[in-house]
Amino acid sequence: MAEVRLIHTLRHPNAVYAVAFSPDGRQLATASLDNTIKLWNALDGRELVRLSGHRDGVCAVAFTPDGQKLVSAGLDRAVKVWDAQTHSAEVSFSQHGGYVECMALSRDGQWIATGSYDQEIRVNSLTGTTRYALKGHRDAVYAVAFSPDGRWLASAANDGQLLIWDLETGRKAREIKGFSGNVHSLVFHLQQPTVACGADDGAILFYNLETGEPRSKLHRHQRGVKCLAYSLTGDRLASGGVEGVAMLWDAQSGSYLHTLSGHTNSVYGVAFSPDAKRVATASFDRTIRVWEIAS
Amino acid sequence: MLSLLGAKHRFCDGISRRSFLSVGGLAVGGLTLADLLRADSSSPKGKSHKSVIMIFLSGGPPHQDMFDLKMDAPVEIRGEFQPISTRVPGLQICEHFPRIAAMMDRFATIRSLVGSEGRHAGFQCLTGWPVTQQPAGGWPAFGSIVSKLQGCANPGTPPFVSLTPKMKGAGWSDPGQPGFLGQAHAPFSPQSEARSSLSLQGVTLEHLSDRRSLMRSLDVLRREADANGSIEGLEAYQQQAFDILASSRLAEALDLNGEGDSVRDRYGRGSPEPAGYGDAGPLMNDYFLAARRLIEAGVRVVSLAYGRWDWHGRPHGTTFENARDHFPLLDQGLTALIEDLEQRQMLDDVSIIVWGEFGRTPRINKNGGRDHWPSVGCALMAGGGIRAGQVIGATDRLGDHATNRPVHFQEILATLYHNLGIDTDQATIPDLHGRPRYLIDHDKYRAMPELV
Repeated sequence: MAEVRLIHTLRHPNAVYAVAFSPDGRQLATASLDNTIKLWNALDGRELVRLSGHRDGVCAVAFTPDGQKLVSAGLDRAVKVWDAQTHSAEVSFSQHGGYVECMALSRDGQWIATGSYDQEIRVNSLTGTTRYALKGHRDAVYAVAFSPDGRWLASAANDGQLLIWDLETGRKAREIKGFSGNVHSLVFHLQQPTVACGADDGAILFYNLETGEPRSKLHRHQRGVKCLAYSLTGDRLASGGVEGVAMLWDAQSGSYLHTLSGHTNSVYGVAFSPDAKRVATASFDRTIRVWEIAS
Repeated sequence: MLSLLGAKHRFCDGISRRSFLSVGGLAVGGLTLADLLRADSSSPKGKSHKSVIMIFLSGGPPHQDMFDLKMDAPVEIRGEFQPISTRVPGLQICEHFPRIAAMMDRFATIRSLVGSEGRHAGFQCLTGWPVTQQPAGGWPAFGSIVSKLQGCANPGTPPFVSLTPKMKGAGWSDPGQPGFLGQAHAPFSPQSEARSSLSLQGVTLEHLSDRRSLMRSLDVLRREADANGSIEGLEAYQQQAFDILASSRLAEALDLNGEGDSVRDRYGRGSPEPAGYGDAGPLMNDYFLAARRLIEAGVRVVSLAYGRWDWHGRPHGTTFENARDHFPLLDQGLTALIEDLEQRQMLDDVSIIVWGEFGRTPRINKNGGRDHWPSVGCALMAGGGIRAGQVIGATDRLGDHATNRPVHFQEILATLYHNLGIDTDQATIPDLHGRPRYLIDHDKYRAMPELV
């Protein structure tokens, strides 16, 4: 079991959909249905700046690996690349024909994948140059994730499909089956060829990326798993769910470690600090909670 | 320092609109300083008067998730919430309204609201009529009719105040139109962004006590109004407008610093930022407290829009996520209002109605939302001397339609008129052609006998 302590409760005036630590762990970016992104001092919880520009809720936010830029995606269909120092939006592009609900940034910081209610996935450079428009889902795309080496992209949609795309060819590589309902969250293990997905029924399922075969399953959440994150070292997994709690897991053994309680609505976003000593959770209850993991 | 309600919006002129007062249809001209000073802030408060607070849940609240849970329905209809028992034996409501449940004997629950035209707007709640086939000039809002029939309860307070803010969703930001009764009976709207020609640009509430500053601003406004012709036809209610502006009573009512922190905390304060998708009203519990203060100051009708209840589902959150966001704040603010009125022995004089323009679809859509359902909706009433602690009407097993005692929008308005002492079988108002108009379709609808 882990010892965890709540150290900050941060607020937006509306639901919070995503949270990300800067690579140096000093800042926290949060994305909200209030159409804005907030940057916070992750150490003392002070609000640093509020970034406006999206014209609808902001569903996702991520720092580039060098910490110089911030990428956001909104329900207004726009993807924006912000200068993390000046806080100005340097690039903005809008290519989808419907709400954008999910976004992922490749680990090398070169590619942005977005999933939309237009049923497409777009893979773009940070300047908005399209690499692929991936078609195959039959309903809104709820989650996308890059593999650590950038070769694969996983996507899950409201059609009950979980697809693996080969980014060398831009073609669908395989479909993964074996879960209940829809998948709402996806994450790749950083060292192993494994993709984890969070399903409607509260299960977290692990699949072999190369074969699509199931590896293991964790089932402690009572309801849908909205978000997943691995620590950079790959030894911890965090999950957040519709029942308003987040959980910490030992990613190697699959052991349950702790439940982070206190949110009063669905937990939409979760992120580890780079040193894995803190975890932040973002909720529809308009708050972001920052927790310190003592052991 | 006065603390006014509402979000602070800075416009290109750099001035906060929050600090402006405007009176619906304010006209200027011909008034002397003596006229203004005569509207003395020290004028005595009137005796207790009958009044109405109308809380509009913008967007269509989900009846089956609030006060008419359908636990026997299939899972795709039933929803996520559990029922809880209330102070009224046999009556259960949603688990996220524990405070309302604990004082359910103060409320009448209407489960069979029918007659919605299905339009996303406050119009039908504000007037009782559909938007289509209006008489020339348009149907007046309930508050405007009360203004016409009963006038001011106090010289320094308007009869009709709307706390509904400016919103992106135009139909929801309607403060209530005076229709064919004319601008004299438009609501006082401290939250709205008034037409510039009819507001005192640059005059803050603090400056209202500075009559010289006020006069300077009025002179500017008068010149502008003369130039653009907007002054024509407005003389009839000049005095009322200036009485309101020159009196401190209204400003004091809107200044919530007059309340202790514990009172504001009990109400729940809320957020001035738009709720939900950002196109509707904020979850601003301070409005409920301001409504009570306005009634105390002599206002007869206070209307306000609260939150954003048009929950179609992802990606703006499922109906149930939005409900977990909105329900507890409504639970807190509404029960604080009832308790407060009761403690001040005002509850029997103040009627409260909580409703929206329609209900929501029985079936939960693929995005976890419920869509528009004009077939049936719900309403809560309290105060005004009604027989509370009862449920009126019922819907079928799926919450699809009314099966017992359908209640039309106009019956609720007729009940509110009745509580104000206005007989809808007798009272008429002249339209633009001088033809007397009944307030509602009085051949079909009247005050609800179960309640009055």
